[in-house]
Formats: sequence, C-alpha cells, structure tokens
Amino acid sequence: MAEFFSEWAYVPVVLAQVFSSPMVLVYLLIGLVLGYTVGVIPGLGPTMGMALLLGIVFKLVPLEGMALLIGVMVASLSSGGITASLVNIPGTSAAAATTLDGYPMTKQGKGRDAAGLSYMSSVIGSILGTIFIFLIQPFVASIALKFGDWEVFLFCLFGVLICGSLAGDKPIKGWIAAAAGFFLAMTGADSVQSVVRYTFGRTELLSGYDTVVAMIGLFGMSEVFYVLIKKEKKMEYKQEQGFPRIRLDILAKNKLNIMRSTLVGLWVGFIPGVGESAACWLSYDVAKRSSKTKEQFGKGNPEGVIAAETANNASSVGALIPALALGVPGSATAAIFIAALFMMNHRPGPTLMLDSPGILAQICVLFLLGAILMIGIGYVLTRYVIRFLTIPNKYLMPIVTVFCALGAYGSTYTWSSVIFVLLFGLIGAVMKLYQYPIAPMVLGLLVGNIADSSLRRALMQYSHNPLEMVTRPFGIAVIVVLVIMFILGVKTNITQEDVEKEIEE
Amino acid sequence: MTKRKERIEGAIVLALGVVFLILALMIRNNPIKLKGWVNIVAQAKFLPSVIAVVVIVLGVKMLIDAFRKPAVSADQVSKVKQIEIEGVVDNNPEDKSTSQFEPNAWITVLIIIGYFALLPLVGFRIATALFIPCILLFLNLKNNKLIIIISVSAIFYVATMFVTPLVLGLRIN
Repeated sequence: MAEFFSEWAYVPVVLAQVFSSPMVLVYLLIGLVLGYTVGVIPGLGPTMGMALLLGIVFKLVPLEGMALLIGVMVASLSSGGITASLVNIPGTSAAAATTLDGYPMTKQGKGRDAAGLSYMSSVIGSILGTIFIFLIQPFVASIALKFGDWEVFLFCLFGVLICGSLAGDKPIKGWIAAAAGFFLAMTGADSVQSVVRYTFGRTELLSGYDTVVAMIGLFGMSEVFYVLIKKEKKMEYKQEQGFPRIRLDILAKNKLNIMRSTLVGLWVGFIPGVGESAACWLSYDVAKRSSKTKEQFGKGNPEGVIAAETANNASSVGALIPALALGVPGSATAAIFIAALFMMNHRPGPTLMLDSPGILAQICVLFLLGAILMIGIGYVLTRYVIRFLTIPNKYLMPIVTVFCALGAYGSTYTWSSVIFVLLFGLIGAVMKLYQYPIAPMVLGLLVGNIADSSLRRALMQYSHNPLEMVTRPFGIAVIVVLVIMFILGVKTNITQEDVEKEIEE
Repeated sequence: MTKRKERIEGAIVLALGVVFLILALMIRNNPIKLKGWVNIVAQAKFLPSVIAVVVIVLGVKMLIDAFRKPAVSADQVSKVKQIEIEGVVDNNPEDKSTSQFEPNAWITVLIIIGYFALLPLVGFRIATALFIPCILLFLNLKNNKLIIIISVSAIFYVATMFVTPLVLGLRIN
C-alpha cells in the first residue's frame, strides 16, 4: 500500500528528469503544436493525431514518447473549442457544446474573448483534473490491487456494456461495434491454454491483431476514406484580427462553474466508454441549470463556453483513472494512451505503479507542464494556425494516408501490418457511414482478450466451487458499484441527448 | 434511414452474428479438461460463442424494429440523410444542404487500396512516388493547377519518405 503513496514523492525526481533532458520538453512542445493543429482542423482531432503518432513513439525514449502523446492530447482538446467559437465548427467532437455560446460571442464581435476563454478553460480543466487524479490515483490503485480475475472480467464486461451509450440514440450500434471488437480481440493463440482462434492458418495472426495497427486503421485511415467520400463544404470564416484576449475577470467570476465542470468532466471520464464529447454536453447542461442567467445560454454566455471546455479536458484526464488502475480505458484517447504505455514496456493495470515506480508522477507532471505551456502556445498560434482551416482536405488526406502506412509498417516492420491498417480503415469507414461508433470497437479490441483470459483463469481457479467465485464479497461490491455506474452512465447519456434535442428545438 | 435500408442493415448484422457463431464453434476444445460444467464455460470457444449470440440477438432486434417502424415520407428521409452525412454538429441550417457524397469517391478509395496493394510489391519509395501525384491530380482535376500539384507532391514526398524516417530512425525501402 505504501508503495502507491510513494508516487507523490517522485515529483521532484520527475521534474529533475524533465528539466535535465531538454528533448523531453522539445517533444512536449512538438506534441502541443501538432495537437493544436489537428485540433483546429475538423476531421482530424485528438484520436487520429495520437493514433498516427503511435507508430513512432516506440522509437523514442519512453519519457519523450509520453511527452509527445500528452502534448497532442492536451492541445488538441484545448484547440477544438477555438474553431467551435470562431467559425461554428467544432475541431473535435468534444468541443461541440462550445459552439452554442462561443459562436454567438464571435457574432457579437467578441471572437477574441471567446477564443481566449475557450482555450484557457481547457487549460484550467487539464490542470485541475491532473491534480485530482494525482491525489486520488494511489487510492484507486490500492483498491484495484485487490481485484481478482473475476473482478477484472466484470469491469471489462461493464466497460463494453456501457459502450452502447457512445452510439447516442442507438445503443444497439454501440454494442454491435463493441462485440465486433471483442470478437477480433480473440484472434490468435489464447493466453490460457494456447488454443488458436480465427487465424485461418495465417502465422502472422498467431499473436492477434496489433492494437497499434488496428487503431491507426480505425481512427486514421477510416477518417481518410470518410473525408474523401464526403463532399467537402466550402468554409468561409471571418476572423477578428489580433491575438486572443484572456479575460481573467470572467474566469475569476466563474470559479464555481469551473470547479463544477471539472468534477463533471472527471466523473464522465471515469465511466469507461463514455468519453469527452458526453462530458461537454453534460457539463453545459449542469452549468445552465445552475446559472443565474439561464436565459443568456445559447446567446453568447461565457459561462457556457467555460463549462464545456473545462469539462472536456478534465474528462480526458479522468479517463486515465480506470485506464491506469485497471487497463480499461475511459475514452478513445485513453485507449490510445494505454496502448502507447504497453509499447513503452509499462503494463497499465493494478500493478502499474509497483512495476513502474514514478509513472503516475511522470504522467501528471507532463500533463501539468503541457497545460501550462499551452497557455503560451494557444496565445501565439490562435492568430495564425486558424488559417489551416482553409487548406482543403484534398491536399491533407493523401499525406495522412502515407503517414498511416508508415506508422503501421514502423510498428512491426511487416507488410501484413500495412494490409491490416487498410482493412481496419475500410471497416472504420463503413462504420462511420452507417453511424456505428468506432470507440466501442477499440475498447472491445483492447479488453476482449483481458476479459476472456480473466474469466477462464477465474473459472479454473474456482473450478471446485464456482459459486464461491461469484459470491466473493469484493466481487459483489464491484458488481454493485458497476451496476450503479452503468445506470448513471446511461442517465448521463440520456441527459446529453436531452440537451442536444432541447438545443435543436 | 428508410425502412428497407434498416431491414437490410438488420439482416447483415444477423448474418454477421451467424458467421461469428460458426467461426466460434469451429474453435477446437481446450487441451486440458476441467471437471463438471465449468469445463464448458472455460472453453476457448465459450466467450466468442456468447458474443456471436449477442450479435444475433441484436440483429434480430434491429430487424423487428425495422419491421415495426412506421413509414417515413421522402421529405423526412432526405432531411435525415443530410444530417447523417454531415457528421459534425452544426447549428447553421443553411449549411446542411451543401453536404453530399463526392461523385468520384469510389475511384479515390480504389487509388488508396491500389497504393496499399503496391507497397509490399515495390516498397514505400516507389509506391509513394506514384501515389501522391496520382491522387492529388485526381482530386484536383477541376482546379488544373499542375504547378501547385507538382510542388505539393514533391514537398509531401520529401517529408514522408526522407525527413520523417530520418528523424524517427524508421527503416523503409
């Protein structure tokens, strides 16, 4: 137990590591600039940006690779709200709710205020969220260590179950996507009795599908196909000249709103499978209900921008809680992040902090530094990088295709990966066209094998009396907690849909 | 989505579930046997079979929903289609009419598939040298700005085939 809490003592060591190795800061900066860029370009976004980098992070020193990914994660979620505010097009789905008040602010001639508030709220959400998980994670991990195979199976199962909520009004589609991911995850020789499944005699499938390749295909290549198939909209934007204006007075007036939105974001992030886009809607709804100026919401109320943007960044950090403690990602970005941790020889799960001492401190310090650096980067780049919006996708997508191929090939150095990335890309594109969410499929791919081997190991352990396994007090407690989480997750989704419907009306 | 399309979608999901089930049942039994009914549940084929059954049930549910659904007018269908294609939340109703499928989309997809098929045969350098100008030319036929396309192709090629591998230490041929 004490080992978990010693994580807090690693902060000075990690700070010394980061500042004594300038390349870590350089990669963090590169990640922030890249993240900012993919965040402002609609159609790219954090998952695609991070998935593309997966193919290259394993070439870097682990801390540098982690810095690069965290940079992209922090910046892309922060910058998505800038385009939402300035041109009414959310750069990422997590910034959808920001359009409601951000764009009306721009139309009122307060575009610089909206952009400044949008990214500063994101920065605050990241900072507060990081401090929270840094304090709470050792407790979560010490509880997770008590999990047996049965409890891990239950957690994976509920993660996949709750994925249905990612599909909006059609949870069936979310469950089908998750089941397909689960099914594909079982390809190869199983880890319990080495029974070979779905390899069709292909030796390259014996170790299953590489999750990195699958993610590059599902998030990267699928977007390429989808964007190229769709007819591109001509984008017109009138940007106010000058740097964004950071209104500290407005932020100070919204202290309570910020705290509330951070907690909402963290909570939504913690529920596996719900993700950042639900966080912004729920937080917007909570802020609207609690506001003294409800009638101003949707007409350019800064409170709406602050609530949506604080929550989506806090949610991305909150999604790391189950990801790090149990290896079950709370969102698509967390799924990519834990895949990257595996590549860096860390094993996300209850023993992560025991096997890799200082890992939590490393992640949190990089998140905090990333958020702090984002203040300067957002300030400088908002004036210029917004011009990326005018680059037609026709020019961008061919280069993204080549990067996807390079990333897939670089992760395994086999041509089969290149073919698999194409197949996963086509699967992802068909899913997008027919409105099947991709994140549940990725979650299924990541946890499918863990769930299968955990269930079978638990059954073998309790083969003399399986009832003993089901009635373990800790297992029952986990079931109760997970059922509550499931109900709350579904409720969260219903609230999100209600808000969206209300706004549409 | 129309009733007919929803029925087809449900049937496809149902067929997918059946394929999953057949594949799951083809998995061989565990080499080590356990006593009693636990042996059935601990088989490598157990969870895949359960998932296949879940997909079949969901497919049946989709089909039942599609058959029960009331008929939708053509006007409503076109409105829904526009929103489906949009993909992003947009509060400007006037923008939605501009969104449609790209007419030559399938040729673009075929060019990309061709690129991936060519990669194992000729390697990255040659395949990419052919792919980038080809796709840029095809996607920008109407613009006909040959100089821009050649310049962009050259920049993309150098960035992807030389700079990126050099910076990251990737070995490509």
